[in-house]
Amino acid sequence: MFLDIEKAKYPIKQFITRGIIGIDKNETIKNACKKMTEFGISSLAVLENENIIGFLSKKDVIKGIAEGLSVNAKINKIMSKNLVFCESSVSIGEALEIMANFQVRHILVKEKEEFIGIFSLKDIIDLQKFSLETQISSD
Amino acid sequence: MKIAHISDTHFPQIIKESFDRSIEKINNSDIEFVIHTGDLVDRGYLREYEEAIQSFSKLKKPIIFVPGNHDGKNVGLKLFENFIGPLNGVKEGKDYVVIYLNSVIPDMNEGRISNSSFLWLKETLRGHLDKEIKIVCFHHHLVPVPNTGRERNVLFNSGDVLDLLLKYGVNLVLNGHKHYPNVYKLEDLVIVNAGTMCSIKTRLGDKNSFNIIEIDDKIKVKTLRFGEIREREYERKKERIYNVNSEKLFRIVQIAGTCIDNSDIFNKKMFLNAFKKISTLNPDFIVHCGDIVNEGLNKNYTLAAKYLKTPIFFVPGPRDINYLGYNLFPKYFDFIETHVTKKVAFKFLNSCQYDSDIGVIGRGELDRIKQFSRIPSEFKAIVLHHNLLPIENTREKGLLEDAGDILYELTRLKIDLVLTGHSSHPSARKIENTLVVNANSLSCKRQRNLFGNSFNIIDVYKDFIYVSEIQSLSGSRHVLGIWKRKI
Repeated sequence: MFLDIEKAKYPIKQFITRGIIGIDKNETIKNACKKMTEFGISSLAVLENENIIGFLSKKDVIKGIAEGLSVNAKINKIMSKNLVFCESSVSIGEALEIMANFQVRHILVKEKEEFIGIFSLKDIIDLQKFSLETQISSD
Repeated sequence: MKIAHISDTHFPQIIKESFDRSIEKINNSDIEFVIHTGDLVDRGYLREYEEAIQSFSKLKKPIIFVPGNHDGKNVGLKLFENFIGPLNGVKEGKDYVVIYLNSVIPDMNEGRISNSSFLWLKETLRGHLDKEIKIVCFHHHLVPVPNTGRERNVLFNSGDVLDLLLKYGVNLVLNGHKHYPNVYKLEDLVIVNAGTMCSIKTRLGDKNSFNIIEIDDKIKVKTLRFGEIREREYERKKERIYNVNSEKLFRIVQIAGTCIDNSDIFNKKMFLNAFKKISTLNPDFIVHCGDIVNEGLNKNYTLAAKYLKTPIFFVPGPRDINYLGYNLFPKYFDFIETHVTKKVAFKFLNSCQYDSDIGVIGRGELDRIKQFSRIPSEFKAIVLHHNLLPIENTREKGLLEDAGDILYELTRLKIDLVLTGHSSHPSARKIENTLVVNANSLSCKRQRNLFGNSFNIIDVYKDFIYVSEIQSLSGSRHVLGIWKRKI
């Protein structure tokens, strides 16, 4: 049912969706939330001139709102400026370790000095959840 | 790096002039080494191997030989091992790795990467992740090749092999087998088929040919056919960042395999939940890629008509037209050939043959597709049931009989989107400028996806296409991919 040890050794490049969805740094929190809903994702890369300068997750939004920011505030006020990333050749286990060390749920994946995708805890949870749902629906 | 890709020499049935000219050209070039993608000999006989090895002694460059189906005839693979060496192997350079493997099923034309070879390939790729250039070679073609007739012998497990190569970032695949040179870029992978270098067995009166491939920031494939050179060039880097500010044009919900009937094959709970979710997604179009009912019987169609009241565009699948279905399908559901709006034009194709799982489009329909491609619409989509590309977790049997020619024409005509619904497994791959999306079965218990029954949503933006799979039961969303649109 849960991620087996063998799979944790697999390179992360095998599990990521290649492509990063990003939003301009001057957009509002409200618009970022709308876009996350529209695309069915829980994080966005924050862009300046099409380069990634920050990272915005659902957790950052909740924290920002809880701290009293307006939904019309700009996302650069709440985004994480320290980009947490790993190389595409590292194993899932190694990526999870980096994520745990930085206490984040998403990690940017780099290949040849370029960001190529995002890996999130949801990717693993989804796999388990879908298997569970398949079992529920089998009768 | 620069390499020569030759194939299908079929000793002793050779045109000596073609062989000598090719070898001379390679000897006088600056290529590093040569890869021969199989069918060195014609019948796998000892004398043929002797003659081939003797002839190739003229070659002054290192060469890798990959076994082909003809090399394996008459227990020929034993001779191949004796004369040449192992059937699977690795050649490694500073920046590159070439992995070659056996795809032969002895005494059969069809191919397969066996379970042990598949695992070996996976382990070998994993061991060479740091290599800048990864090349994989085997004899049988990975995707359908044009101008080669009936398409029934790609690798049995080509869907799984393709998936593996894409996941491990392989740059180049070299194949032979069909004696017709062809090049495609599928996602980041360049797939090259070589023609026959010197055999009399050419297709379409085609000339003998071989490929020179150069890899730096780009992958350049030059096909040298005597008196003529064809060149294709592909960027190795792909745009990875997509800005959400792009204008959304429309949303398609793509479903398949509802398989409605009174038996437990039809999962009613899945069906109802999926349609509850669809009603919240505000699609501009809903497209059903076939297998509406489980069998083409009156009672199933009556039931399906009750369940499917939402406006949907339908194409039939083989289950819809078997038994009485051929007559019942048009009675219960409208089949229209085209639907054209300002933003998008659809062409719907019936790819089914009566009482057969194998699909076909045919030449007449292909002419109509060519006419359709001239419609002045911003975005063109083709909808059919059978697969154009191999799908993972399935055997290749879902491919169209004429997949090679249809795939070639659709990519040449730059059709933006192809929607298919066979094989009960979701998949989305961009080949050249055409995105090919397959839908899993929505509510049939016979499905192959670990994630369970599902359907797809295809969101078309001004700058990109975003495809997700939605689980039928829970509505959970799983992103299949995002692709830049051609400008």
